[in-house]
Amino acid sequence: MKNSKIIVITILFLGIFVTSCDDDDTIIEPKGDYENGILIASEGPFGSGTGTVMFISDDYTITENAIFNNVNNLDIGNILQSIGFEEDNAYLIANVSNKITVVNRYTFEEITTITEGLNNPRYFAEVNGKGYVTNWGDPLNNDDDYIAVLNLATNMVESTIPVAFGPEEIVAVNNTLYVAHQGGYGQNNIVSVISTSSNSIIKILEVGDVPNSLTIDDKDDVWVLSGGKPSWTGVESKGILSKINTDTNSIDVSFDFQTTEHPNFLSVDDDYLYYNLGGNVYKMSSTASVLPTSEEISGLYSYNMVAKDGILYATDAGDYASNGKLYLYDLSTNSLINTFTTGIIPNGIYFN
Amino acid sequence: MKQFSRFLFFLFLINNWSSYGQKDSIIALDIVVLSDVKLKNFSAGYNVNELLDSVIKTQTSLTDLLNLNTLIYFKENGYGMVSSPSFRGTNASQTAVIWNGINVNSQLTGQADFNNISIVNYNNISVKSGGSSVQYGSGAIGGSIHLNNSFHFYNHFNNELQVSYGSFNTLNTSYKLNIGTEKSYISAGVDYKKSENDYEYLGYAKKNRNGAYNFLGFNFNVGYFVNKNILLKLFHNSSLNDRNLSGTLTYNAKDAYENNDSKTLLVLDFLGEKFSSNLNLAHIYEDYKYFPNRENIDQYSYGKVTTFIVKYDASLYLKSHDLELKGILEYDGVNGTGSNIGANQRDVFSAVFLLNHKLTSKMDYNVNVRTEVTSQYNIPFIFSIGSNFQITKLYTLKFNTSKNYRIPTFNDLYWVPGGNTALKPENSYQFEIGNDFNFNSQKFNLTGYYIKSEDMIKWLPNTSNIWSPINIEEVESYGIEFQYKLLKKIGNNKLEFLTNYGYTISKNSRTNKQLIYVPKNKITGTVSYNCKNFSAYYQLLYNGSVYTTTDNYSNLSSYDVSDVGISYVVPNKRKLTTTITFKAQNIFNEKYQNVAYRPMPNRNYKLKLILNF
Repeated sequence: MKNSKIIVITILFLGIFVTSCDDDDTIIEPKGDYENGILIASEGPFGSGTGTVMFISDDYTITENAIFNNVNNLDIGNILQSIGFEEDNAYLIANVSNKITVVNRYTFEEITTITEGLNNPRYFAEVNGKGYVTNWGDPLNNDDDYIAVLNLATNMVESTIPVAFGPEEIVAVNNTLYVAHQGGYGQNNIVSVISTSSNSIIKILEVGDVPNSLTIDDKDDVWVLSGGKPSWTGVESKGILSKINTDTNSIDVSFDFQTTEHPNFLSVDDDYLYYNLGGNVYKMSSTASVLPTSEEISGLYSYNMVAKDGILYATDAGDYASNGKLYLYDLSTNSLINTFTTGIIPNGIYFN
Repeated sequence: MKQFSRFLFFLFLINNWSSYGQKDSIIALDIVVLSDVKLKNFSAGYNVNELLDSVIKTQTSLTDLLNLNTLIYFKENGYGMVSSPSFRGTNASQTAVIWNGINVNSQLTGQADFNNISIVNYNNISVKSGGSSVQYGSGAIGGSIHLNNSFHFYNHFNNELQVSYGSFNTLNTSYKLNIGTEKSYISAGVDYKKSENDYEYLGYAKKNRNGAYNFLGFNFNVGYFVNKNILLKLFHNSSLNDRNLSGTLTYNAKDAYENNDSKTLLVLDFLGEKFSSNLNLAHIYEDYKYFPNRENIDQYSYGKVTTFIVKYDASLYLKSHDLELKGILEYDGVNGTGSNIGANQRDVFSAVFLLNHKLTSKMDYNVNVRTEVTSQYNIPFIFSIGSNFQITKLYTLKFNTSKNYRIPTFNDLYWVPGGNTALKPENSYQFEIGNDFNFNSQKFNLTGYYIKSEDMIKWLPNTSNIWSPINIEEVESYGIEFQYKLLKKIGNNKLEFLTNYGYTISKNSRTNKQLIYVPKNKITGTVSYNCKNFSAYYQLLYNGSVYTTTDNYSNLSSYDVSDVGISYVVPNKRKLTTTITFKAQNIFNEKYQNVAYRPMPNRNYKLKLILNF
């Protein structure tokens, strides 16, 4: 009894002492176990099962698989297509399950699940407390595609914006949304420009065929990478890299690839654009006037790829029926610096 | 009668082909029954298990029947949904379904959907373990399932009406008519089943919400002796199957799937004591429609295939040497169209030679070879050799070895995108040794096998990230199968016990990992008791744990499911026999899945009435 009293007093005393000591530079409470790290979203197996999110701490010392499932003892759902972030929340979009699970991005505790108003949800962007989620609608119907407008305070879909078929990636610059219409199970070739003040399409920009990735550079311009139509379509077309000037909402400049070249996975890091073409990683200055001719890294057939702070994160889905891999390359030396085993079909790479 | 039986006796094999054949249900001598003769005569060294009519009657689906009575593992995408087998550790397209001697695996998928086959109209269902591509063509690698209609040439007129109703609003009805004389036979049947199939997902507070199904089947067979040497047979079977597709624990499905199937076979038998032959003409049609949203019936994808077969088969029987030789020439013309496969045709010509020789009264053997030429590739030479040695009265040693193949499907070849017309057929070599121990009331069989499959077709994303099939996998499967059967009769009491145990290793040769959805252990067991008009049974199914990912990182746990049934035959009132059966399945409410995230039904009941008149 006495002993424990002493301990309590000691702790209290030390507590006061420690706090008073730190007064000047205020303590930063950790926001959760999953702060300061990388989140890898894996789609999960086809047909059944669940997607998972893996956490890797920034110093690579801590890794944990299936963090949502561990924390909540629940499944995220089938085909975790992407994750959207806003303030402390993360929005886990399960495409086949038609639901968005809202979690605290640092603790991964479930806040709520949104199921109403979604039909084949794909990607998320946020503007002024609203989430904008691209939806394919029914797979064989090209006329029912839309953007679901999610009220992030109530977590309800409050309206929809009908769009052309196959809306995929979506980014926001100020109050304007840029939606790449990759084309669902088919192919499309446009970017819809949507004003969030009116929730209406203000412009449709024609880009290359099959716009597969969007990214925003340091000057707040949007880059669109179009893969081109693949050869099996019988009308194979070239890949095109386009830059949308977000002041004028027009295409400032575009770069054509060869007809048989189908680039993918565009990202921007430190004023350089990175993309993958036929298993080779290319790097290009955002002010360059021609496409690069020599690759930085070769033989990297990734499932997704993101360059960030001098590191290239590339995922590999393997045989799509077992755990995948994440490869980290140092972009100053272009050498492999780390490898992690992820969940099944690793698709999303995010930084927490 | 006699005049016909003389010509038929060599078509009608005396049970030397099967370890546990139909000795238990010996057909009275004045009844002539014709069935798939090739299966019986040219299967020396193989295990062929015939499922008796009484066993078939306890089930309503081919999946359930085989799952509970054989060592085949079934992957069902929810109860009643698309169901695919793994036989001896092989994949779903390496089990062939043979309908009255014709391979009816889908030309689109290469596999049979075991929940799209009604069993009520077949009076003979046999399971042949091991490869028999020589006789039955593509896909007969792990084994083959034989659905046969037999012909009964004796005077009779029988009707059978079955009605059953059970849990989840499940209705099964069928009507069957059999009429026979010494010269002709007609059987006709119609069956209909439907179910809400909205069983509970035990432990999840969810239901199987999109699992309803609806099946209508027709069956029609005619046999007619034009004269004592010419027998004309017509077989027809067709079905319409309309299913919603069950979701998973993480997916509320709203899709639906429709299948139409039709099979018609005309056989002209020329019967002789020494030389006989037959001409077969078959027409097989299959189609499917897939609706991503069942409420929107205008939007669907589809595929349909028509197959036309001409087959001529000649046999020479040398009684003095107990030697039978058979040659078969066959042409298959396959035409497929569909949303994703364009319009394509495949022509296949094959030649088969079969030899069955009873060397001594204790030893017989088969040598079978096949060659095949198609519009896309050739199957140069396929063989099987098998033999039975009766070493003692109690013990028979069997062995067989064979080379088998599976040709690429229309989806593999022509699917847009990804279809690969440069695919080669898969091939497999196998070897098997079986031991039959036959005591009076007890029978054992212990069989070991080894299968090596090469050039197996697998769909993988290519360098342009398009899924495309390639001949890449190599798989080695081996295992042990044990069967024990006991039949005891004491006065009016009849007790039967049948159990199967299988140990299966099936490994990807490159990674050395067990294939997904192949349990290392499976047990089935049935105890049945019969006394006069009353019978009862208990059935157990145990499936060992299966891996669900190719790195063997995730698995499904093992499970055992128990069923019980009782049946009472109401004493005859003149010509009417009424049988009432009651069945309870999964009596211990086991929570189980045979495909990950797709729970199977909780405890459920079925009451059935059978009227024979």
